[in-house]
Amino acid sequence: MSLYEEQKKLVLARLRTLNPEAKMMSGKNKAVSVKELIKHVEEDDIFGKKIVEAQIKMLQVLTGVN
Amino acid sequence: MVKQFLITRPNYDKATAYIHAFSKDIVAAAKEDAGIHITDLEGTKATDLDFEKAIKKSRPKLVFLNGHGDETVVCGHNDEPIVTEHNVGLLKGKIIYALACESLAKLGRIAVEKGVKAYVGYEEEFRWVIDPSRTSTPDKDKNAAPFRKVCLVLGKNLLSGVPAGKSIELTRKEYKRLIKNYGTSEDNYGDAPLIGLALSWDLMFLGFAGDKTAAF
Repeated sequence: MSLYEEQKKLVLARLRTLNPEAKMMSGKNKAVSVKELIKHVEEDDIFGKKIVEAQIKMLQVLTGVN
Repeated sequence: MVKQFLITRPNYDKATAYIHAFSKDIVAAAKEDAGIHITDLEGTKATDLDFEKAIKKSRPKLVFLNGHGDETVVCGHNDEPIVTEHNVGLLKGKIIYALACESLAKLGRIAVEKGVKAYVGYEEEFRWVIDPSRTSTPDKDKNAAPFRKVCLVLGKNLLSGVPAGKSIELTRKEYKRLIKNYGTSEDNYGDAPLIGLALSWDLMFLGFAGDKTAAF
């Protein structure tokens, strides 16, 4: 399994612990729910890949790596 | 000598209502400072015509743009483009902070090529977390509070004359502090980890183009 695949698995596991209806808003007036975030990550689209990157960044901040 | 500051802050839909709310503390800080004169293009005043008039009249050194945007435009009231590559030359010599999606990606780079000193903004969409029961009163939305805080940190640093590069560095520190707070807090509703994720997203895409020593 590649590093990215491992990161994706970790991110999906974390996202699945969240309230699926909780929403992230964007300046483009597009609210995206946790359920939709999971779908983007599962489908490996551009947005999903960026979500993986952001979640890993968050974990790095939490662990003091970055 | 009084320093000239201009801000645009439309308020006509859900996203601009939040961004407008985020700008309130910055406007209050500018009004409290006797050394700063603020030109506030709020709500329906955030139009292309009023913006160009105000830029020419008050010749601000610092400009905050709040509103919808994409890689090539920042908008005012009702999605009216107020800064594009065609008029960005008006902002020559100024420091720009755009709380607008994606505008740093292209418009910010073009702005600097056309003489803007520094352009602070986001390469991707700016994101925040909402409490669905509070969307009609963004000021009371606790989920949005950390995003309001980082906007204030960045805005206040720029307003107080901290150079653009240092302002970004201090804002990144604040993002990280908030991520640590939210990433480790107990939250029965599950919103805190999502807030941490959105803060992390914004941290990744905050940046600037131009002269990092540019200061107001």
